Formats: sequence, C-alpha cells, structure tokens
Amino acid sequence: MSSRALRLLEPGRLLGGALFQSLLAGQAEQDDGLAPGTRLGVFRIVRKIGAGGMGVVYLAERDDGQYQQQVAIKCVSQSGGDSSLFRRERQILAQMRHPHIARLIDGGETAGTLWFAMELIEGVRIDEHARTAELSVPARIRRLLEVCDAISFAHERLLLHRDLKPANVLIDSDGRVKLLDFGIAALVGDVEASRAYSPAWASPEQRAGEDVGPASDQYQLGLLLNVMLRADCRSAAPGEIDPQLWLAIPPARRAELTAILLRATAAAATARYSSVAALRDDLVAWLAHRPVAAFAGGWAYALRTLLRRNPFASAAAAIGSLLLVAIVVFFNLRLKDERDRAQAEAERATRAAETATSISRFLQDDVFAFADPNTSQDVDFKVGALLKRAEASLGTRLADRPAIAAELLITIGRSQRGLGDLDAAQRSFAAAKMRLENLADANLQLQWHLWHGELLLARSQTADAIDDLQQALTIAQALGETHPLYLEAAVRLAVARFDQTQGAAAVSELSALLPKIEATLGQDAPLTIFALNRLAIMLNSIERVTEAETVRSEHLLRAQRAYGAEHSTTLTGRLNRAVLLRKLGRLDEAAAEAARASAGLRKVFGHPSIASLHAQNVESNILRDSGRLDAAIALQEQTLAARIELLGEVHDDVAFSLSNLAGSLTIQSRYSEASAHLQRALAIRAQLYPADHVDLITNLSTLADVERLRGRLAIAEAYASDAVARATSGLAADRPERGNAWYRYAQVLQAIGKADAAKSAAESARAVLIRHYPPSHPRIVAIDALLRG
Amino acid sequence: MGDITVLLQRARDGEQGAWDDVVALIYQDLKLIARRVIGRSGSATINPTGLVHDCYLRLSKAGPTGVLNRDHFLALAARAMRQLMLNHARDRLAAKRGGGAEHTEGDEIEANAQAEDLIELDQALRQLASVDERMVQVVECRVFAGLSEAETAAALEMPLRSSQRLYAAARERLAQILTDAKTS
Repeated sequence: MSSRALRLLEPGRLLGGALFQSLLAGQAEQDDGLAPGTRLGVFRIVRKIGAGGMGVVYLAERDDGQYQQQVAIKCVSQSGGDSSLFRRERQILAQMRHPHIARLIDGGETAGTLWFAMELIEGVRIDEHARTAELSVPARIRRLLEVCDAISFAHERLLLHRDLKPANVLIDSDGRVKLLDFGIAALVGDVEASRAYSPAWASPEQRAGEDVGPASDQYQLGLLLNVMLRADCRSAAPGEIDPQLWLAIPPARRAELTAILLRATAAAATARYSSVAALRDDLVAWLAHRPVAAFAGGWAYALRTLLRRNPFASAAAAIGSLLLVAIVVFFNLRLKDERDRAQAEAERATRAAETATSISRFLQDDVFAFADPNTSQDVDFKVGALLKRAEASLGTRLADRPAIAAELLITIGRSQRGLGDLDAAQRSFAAAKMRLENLADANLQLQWHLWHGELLLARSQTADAIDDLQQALTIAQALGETHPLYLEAAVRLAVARFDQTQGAAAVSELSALLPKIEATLGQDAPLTIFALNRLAIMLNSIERVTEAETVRSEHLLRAQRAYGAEHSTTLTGRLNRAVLLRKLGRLDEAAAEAARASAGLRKVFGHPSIASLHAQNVESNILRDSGRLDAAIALQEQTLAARIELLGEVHDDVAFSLSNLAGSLTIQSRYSEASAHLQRALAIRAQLYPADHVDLITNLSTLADVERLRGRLAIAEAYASDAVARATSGLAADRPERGNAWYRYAQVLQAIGKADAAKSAAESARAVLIRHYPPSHPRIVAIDALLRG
Repeated sequence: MGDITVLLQRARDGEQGAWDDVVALIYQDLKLIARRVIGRSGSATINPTGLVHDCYLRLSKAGPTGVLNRDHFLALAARAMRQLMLNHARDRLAAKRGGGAEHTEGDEIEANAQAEDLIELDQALRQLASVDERMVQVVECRVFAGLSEAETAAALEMPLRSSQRLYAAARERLAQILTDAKTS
C-alpha cells in the first residue's frame, strides 16, 4: 500500500476529491467544441489549449493570407447582450497597448458565442513561477509591481480588469509579466455576470453584484499579493504570516507588509488605497525600507525604517544635533524679536509663534531623538511626515517672514539630507535661496552655502560643493576662525578638496584644523568626531594605513564615549578599523573587530540591511586575506545574493559585491567567472554613472587585468585603453585611479610585446602614483620593474 | 441527445466515435446537474453518486424509447466516468494555463496531485485488463461511478459475492502492479 495512486481506491477518495470537483466546475466547452479548421473571423482554429474560468481557449492562426500570426482565442457562450456595446468596448480594449498586458487583437460573435483573439502568451502562472523559482519576498513583490503598473495604466484609461487572479497573470518566456483577459469579464456582460469572474477572487462589491470600480481591481491585486506572499502560493486569510517564506523578514517589516495587505483587501472599497498606484507606491516604499503609508506605527516606526534604510544618516544627524539646538534657540530669539516689532499684528504673531513652537518641538524631540536610535523608540512622532508638512505649509504661513522661512527651509533641507532624501533636500535649499535673494543677511547666506555645499558633497557634485563651501568660509571669516560655523565650513572644504584630488594637501589641511576644533569645541564634540572620521578615511585612501589606524582608534574611542558602543557612528568606525587592521596584516584583530561591528550593526539595522551586508563584505575580505578563500567566496556570494534581493540588480553595492567576488575568483585563477562578474558590474555601473566615473574606470582596468591573465590580450587591450582614455579625459591629473589605469594598460602592452609603448604607459602611471605612494609600495616596485624591462 | 440509446448500443459494439460521444454526453449532463445542484445550495459540495443516478434518469427519459436498461447504463457510465476523469486529468497537467473557476489555490494543487495519481492508476488498470477484464469493470463501478457493492453486482450482472471477491482481488493486483512500477 505504498503507492499514492492506490489511495484513490478508498471509498469517496476520488469522487469526493478535488479532481472531480474541478471536473464539474470546469465550464462548458462548446457543444462539440470547436473543431480544428473552424474559422472565427480571420482566424482558423488549430487546437484547444485550455479551459479557463470563463470559457475555452484555442490556439488559432490568421487565415486571410495577409501575414502569419498565432493568437489565443477565448470563446464564451453568450445568451443575449448588447452587441453594439460589445463592439465599442472591444475597440477600446484593442487600442490598449502596454508591455505587461496581453493585447486584444480581434473579437466577434459567432452563433451566440463571443470570441476574443488575444496575443498568444507562452508562459507560466505567476504563482507557479514564484513557487518553482523559489522567489524571495522582495522578488515576489517586484513582480507584482509590474502587475500594478499594468493595472494603473489601464485605470488611467478608465478600464478595469475585473478578473485578476493567478491564472490571468503569466510570466512569459522572456520573464516578463503578462496580464491576460483584460476587461473580458466586462465584455461578457451582465447575463452571465456570475461567470464573469472567479468567486474565490471576487471583491466584496462584485459578490454583492454592485457596480465595481478601480478599487475592485485593487482588492483582487491584494488577494494576489497575499497568495504570492506564501511559499506555496496557497490562499490564506490576508495577513496570515507564512513562517517559511517570512523567516528572513524582521517582525517590524512583517507588520508593514501585513498592513499593506490589509489595506488593499479592506472590505469597504473606501478603506483601500486611493488607487492602485498608491498601493504600488507603498510596496515600493516597503522594498526601499521607507515608511509605508498603510502602517500607522507612529514615530518609533518611522525612525526604525529611516535608520534601517540609511545607516549613515543617523551619524550625520548626531553631528548636526548640537548645531540644531543652537538654531532652535536662535529661532526663538528671532521670533521674539519679530513679535516685539509687530505688536499690532497679534494674530499673525500667534500664528508664527505656533509655527516656531512646532518646529522647535520637532527639532528637539525628533531630530535629537533621531540621532540616537537607542533612546527614541517611545517618542510618538513622525519625522518624515512632519518634514513634509512643514515644507508644504512654510510657503503660505511664513510668506511675510522670508528670513524665518529661509532658515526653516535650510534646517528642513539639512534634515532631509540626513534622512537620505537628497532630492527633497535640494528642493528645500532651492526654496530657501529664493527667500534669501532680497535679504542682506550674512548669517543666513553663510548657513545656506555651508549646508548646501554639504548636500552637493553628498550628491558627488564636488566642484560645485567647493564653490559653496569657499563662499561660506569667506563669509565666516568675519565671525573669526574659531567660530563653530567657520570650523564647520573649513572641515567640509577640506573633505571636498580631498574628494576632488585625493591629494595629500587636503589631508594636511584637515590635520591642521583638528587642534583648533578640539580647543574650541572639545575633544568629544560632534565636529571633532566627524573630522577624525574623515581624516581616517582620507589617510586610508592614500594608503597611509598606519596613520589611518591611529586616527581611527582615536575616533572610535571618542565616538564610543560620546554616543555609546552601539551607535551607528561607533559601529561604522569599528568596521572601518577592521578594514585598516586587515590592510596592516593584523588579521586576527581585524576579524574580532569586524565580528563585533557586524553583530552591532545587525542589532541596530537588522539583517540583511545595507549596513549589515557592508559588514559581511568586510568579513569576507578578511577571510580572503587569511587564506580562507573558499569561505570568503561563499560569503561574498551570499552577500551578493542578499544585496540583489534587498536593492535590486542596479545598485552600486551590488557592483561592489561583484567586483569583490571577481577579485577572489582571480586569486583562484578562475578568470572566466571573474570576467563574467566584472562585466556584470560594468553593466550596472554604466547605468548608474557617467562614462568617466572613477568606479567605472577602475572596473574597466580590473577587467583588462583579468582578460590579460586569461590570455585574451586583444580584449584586454581594448578595455585597458578605454579605461585610460576615460581616466585622462575625466579624472583630475593626480587621481591615483588614473595612475592605476595607466599601470594596467602598461601590463597589457608588455604582454602583447609592445615594449616601448608599455614603458611609456608605465611612466605615466609612475608619475601619478608616486605622489600617493612611497617608492617601496608594491605597486611602485612593480612599475619600476616594468620600466627596467 | 435523443440518440443516447443508439449511441450506447453502438458504443457497446465497440465503435470508438460513438463511445467518445457517450463520454461527451455524460459529461455535459453531469455538469448541467452539478451546476444546478451548486446553484441551488450555493456550495460546491455535491454527492457524486447521486449525480450519476440523476444523470441516468435524465438520459433514460430522453431516449427515443424512453426506456434504457439502468444496470447497463450504470456500467457504461462508470467506464465513461473513468474516461472523463482521465481526460480531465490529462488536460489539467497538459494545460499550462486555465484552471477551475470555483477553486481555491489549495484545491488546484490537490487536484493536480490527484490527476497525477489517476494517470498512474489508469496505467495500472490497463495492465490489470490483460489479466482479468472483469476486475477492471468492478473497479470502474466502485471507484469511478461510486456504486455500492450491490449496484456493482447488478450493473455487471454477477452475484454479489463474485463482485466482492473480484474487487478485493483487483485491489491486491493493483497494489502489486503499482509497487512493481515503482521499483522497476
């Protein structure tokens, strides 16, 4: 009795079972079915390919001698109905073209049978695809976003699908989502209304026989999402968690997703999202670790999502917090001033006072709290929402007080930058500038240039950032060289100059500033800690690793003293120290530091998160250097997969992972795999960056190196010369990456046997790199060997 | 559908086309009744054996003579049901698209699993037919038409005890065939 088939002999097993039910439920084929060769319009039936909820589906071919075309024809038996209406609606549907919607090609009525010729899609159902491909939750949601796109597109054209269910959503052979049967349910009409949709997938309003609108499609999308969020894609009560699939998702994220599901599938249409586009936005927000609209989790919730999304934001906010206090005080003083001056305008003053109070509350309670994720979880307040509201109301409420408005906008812009919303920040700064134009307020000008420069730095617009910071510094000079704003501007200017040149001069500039900052603001002041952090980063990137490690240890000590061991600034500092220790060959210490940082980052940001994966990446590099190459590759592959899942393919973290993995594979002489990864990284970077971006150039150089090692010299030469050309036109003359590009080119030229050209390239490389590295540096030594021939 | 008796006669005489028509007819009728039952009760829970009987009643009344041998009909219906369910199982597994309208996803998976099992069982029944055709007929009546022991005996025109013995033997043989198929 081992066979499963034998159990069908048990009483009631077969006839009481699902197969028999589905046989009975299957809708009527045409009385005889349509025989192959039967003509419908210009089409000739080839064979039956399936029986769907509403009718039978045939494969058919165009038979009017015009051109070859295969279509899927769906036949629905029809009793009565308005055929002119049918024709009109069919026309509208036929005009609807969208990459994710199977197009309606033709249709007609033959002997009481409605038929629809549709684009033939060879594919599998979306749920089957998710199940067999074992897609993760984010991957499943990304597929659904495509469905949302298609539905939104149709809704904008006032068309409803009315019969969304897994059977109508296919993944075609190219991996694209295709929606079938768009609007067919409506065409079939009222007569067979009960057959026009599938009961298990009907919205409450459909079941009640009421008029349906876009919200009905949204409900069905919600059900689809619900099914897709279960590993086996079986239906369940919306929001019921599937432990198998949701294992990797932290509880807070589960709650968000559940909230989205419940909102989309709310029984009352009015309780759902305002549109499918809004549902889509929320899913996108969830994927991006932004707060979701469906979730009313309050401030603690908003904070957690923000921190998760932007691990380095809290550090920036922490640094800014002292200044923000100063600004709060300043606001209040300024407001008092204004009130004194405008006694008569009592009402307006009250309004301004309210605004100022709410803003200062916001600054004190939120931005402050935001700076420390460990203490802020109980404050019931939402930063993002408040920022948005403040930004929106500023224009009207403070129209007659441009100075206050400008100041608030600058503050809002800074907060937005801290939260990682650079575009919103840019908008706030632009709005602030408009209000500053007619004011001769040096202090505000200074603040604007300083913080706008900082924003541009974050946007990698280094040259413009330097302009702004230079202006800020010039204005600040009047305040004295020990004024906090002067120091802020000076530190950032040094950072920006280094970003532009990678030059030792900027490092000296910052080193020289440090004693002044410490003397003025204190050893553990945010700006001191910020400057130490940047100095360590700079020293590391010009390969003065020993000094970098000394500065980094100091930074770590003070960050821990000022913010605590489990603050993101401290944890990130610790991780960076691990990187330095690895470079210095102190691998055991490096591993211990990395493990500590990794555990902390996971605790603060969750895992997988951008920060925790960054730590994992550092750990894999340490493994690689420790000679545990297989373990390193395994971890790198894990990191890569997690990053793709978290961030999507086109993200610079993914490109970094690919490059790292390629590095390890190169050590193992697995050149073709390494090359494939590097090419993939190149494709990603080509999408993200301009052609002369430094990462793109390094990527090309590395690829040239791998191809050279593989012995594919012609290809290697092409990559290497491309890298050199881009570096020469796009990078500052003394950028080390420019030297490296020349070095790789020299190696390739030598391998080809172009000895003279190789030497000349090596000279170009040496001229750049000798500014950054000592003559004993392995790279310089290698170049010198090349030059000797 | 007035020619059911003729069709049945021709089918019994071994005409393949006629047999296909009988299967199609029975299927149509089954669905018609099923839909009526589902529509009335608002649920998909139906009594399959009752369906076959209902089906007989309808078809027998429709015959030109108005009289159809009930027992013969049931035996034929059982075979038609087997054919019907097998076709359905094959369609299910072959079709990448489609799927029953009234079904939740859980049922879909369950139905697909049963479809696979049924195809396996059908192959075993074909092997069994080369041993003893009567065993296959008993299985068809019991399993595919849901007939009772007594109804099975009447439909196949054999003593009750013979049908019982044959059914028990058929189960044993099928178990053997299926196990062999698995291990070979």
